[in-house]
Amino acid sequence: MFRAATTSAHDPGLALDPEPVAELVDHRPGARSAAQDARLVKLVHAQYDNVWRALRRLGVPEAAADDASQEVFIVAARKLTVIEPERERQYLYGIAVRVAANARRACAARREQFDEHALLAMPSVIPESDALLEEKQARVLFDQVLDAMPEDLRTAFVLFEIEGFALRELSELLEIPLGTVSSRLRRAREAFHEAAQRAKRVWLKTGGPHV
Amino acid sequence: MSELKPLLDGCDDFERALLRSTQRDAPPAGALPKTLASLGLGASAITSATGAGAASAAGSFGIGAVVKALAVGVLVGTALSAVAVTLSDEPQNVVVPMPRAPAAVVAPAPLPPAVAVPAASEASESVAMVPAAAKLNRAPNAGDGTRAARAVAEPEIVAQAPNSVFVSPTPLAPAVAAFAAVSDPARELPTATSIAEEVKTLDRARHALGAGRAREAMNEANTYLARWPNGSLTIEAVIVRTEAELALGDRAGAERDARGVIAAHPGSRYASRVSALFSPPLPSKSE
Repeated sequence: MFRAATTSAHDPGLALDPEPVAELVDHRPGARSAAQDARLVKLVHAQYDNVWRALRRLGVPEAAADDASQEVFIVAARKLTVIEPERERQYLYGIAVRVAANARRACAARREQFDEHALLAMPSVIPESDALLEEKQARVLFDQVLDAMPEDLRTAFVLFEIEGFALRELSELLEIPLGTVSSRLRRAREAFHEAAQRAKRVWLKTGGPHV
Repeated sequence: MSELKPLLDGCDDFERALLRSTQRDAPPAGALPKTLASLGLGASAITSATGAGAASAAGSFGIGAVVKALAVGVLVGTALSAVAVTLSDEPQNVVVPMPRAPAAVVAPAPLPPAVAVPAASEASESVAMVPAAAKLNRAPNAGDGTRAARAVAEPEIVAQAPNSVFVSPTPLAPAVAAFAAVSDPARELPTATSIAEEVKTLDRARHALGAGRAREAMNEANTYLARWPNGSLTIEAVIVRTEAELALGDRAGAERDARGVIAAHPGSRYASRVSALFSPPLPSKSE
């Protein structure tokens, strides 16, 4: 059952540490079988980019995203034998949600809150008068919009709208009832819409399309 | 409980641009090998990851010039075109497709005589219907991004709104022209409507794949490829289909598609992406 498998993700050791948590990995020969190694390699190759991207959208700063991704896979490696093959993705995201929460807390003091003044003060984010929104700029803006959302809503939003999880999967992954998932998503969309429209107004005001 | 529809289907163009901006966000080269090393995994696993990273770096170099030159106009231009489509009752919104750059770097492969939309049951067999190399003859070395692929493949768009005019820069820089898709006079230029439909179709495929609905993803990808065999996002659709085939256990079909991608774009990030779907990874350069 997924619930049992994800409890490991609550380990205190999940807090982001500047030092890689290499001590969590048992490097001794024979600690993992060749088949487990192969499975792990496949898992990392298949999901690394997805996990990294999800962590970023869940609020992990770019500078910490590599270490956070590493942490997700290290936890997964420790629990490989209890991860059901068909639930690998859910399991990884379950860990990622918790790793991201820890990372956000660690970086909370430094994170800038989304507001119009901050946005206005970021010329690199706002296109020049005759320039348009580049993808990277859109991504920065998107992250600011996500930053403006409450954590629980942001998590549901990212996992459903960006990562494509179904409601039932979200219910298992977040360990909340299906009805709660739905209501959380509805509120998340409202919050996203409100923040996005605010960002749009600022963007238009500060140049946006060439007038 | 009925499944919610993704927001992407029902939000405005600005929100859609934000949501899409994340699709090609990727970790820096070297991050994956670092993780493999931290897991105590073998050198071969790390070597293959490093190779993919190097290929990705090489791919993104070429695309850098394209993105630089075409950054202005594409993303929001496309988004606005979608607005013009969805808000067609507002007569002041005008979308005018601009002519494509005439430079032709790669000769267009002939289209297959007929392409039918495959039924779900024969989806995996449909792989052979359109030779991958023929489908993927656009934007050589286009690096990783749909954005980049779009930059070279989509027509520029001038969207006119009551108080704003988006103008994409013309003429294209030589670097862009070198990557530009073939201008086939006999081929109808894509319209804003068709581009919006292309994007929606591929988004549905991606979302289905992400949600574990591989069969649905396969059908959507096949629908895309049948409807737009030379579409702006053809290579993306083939990659989605490759992933769906793997998820459905059709390794032969997936490998056929993947090798088509690799043959069309050897050493590119596209090649690395499809190669990495397999274990062991396929060679990301043509043999």
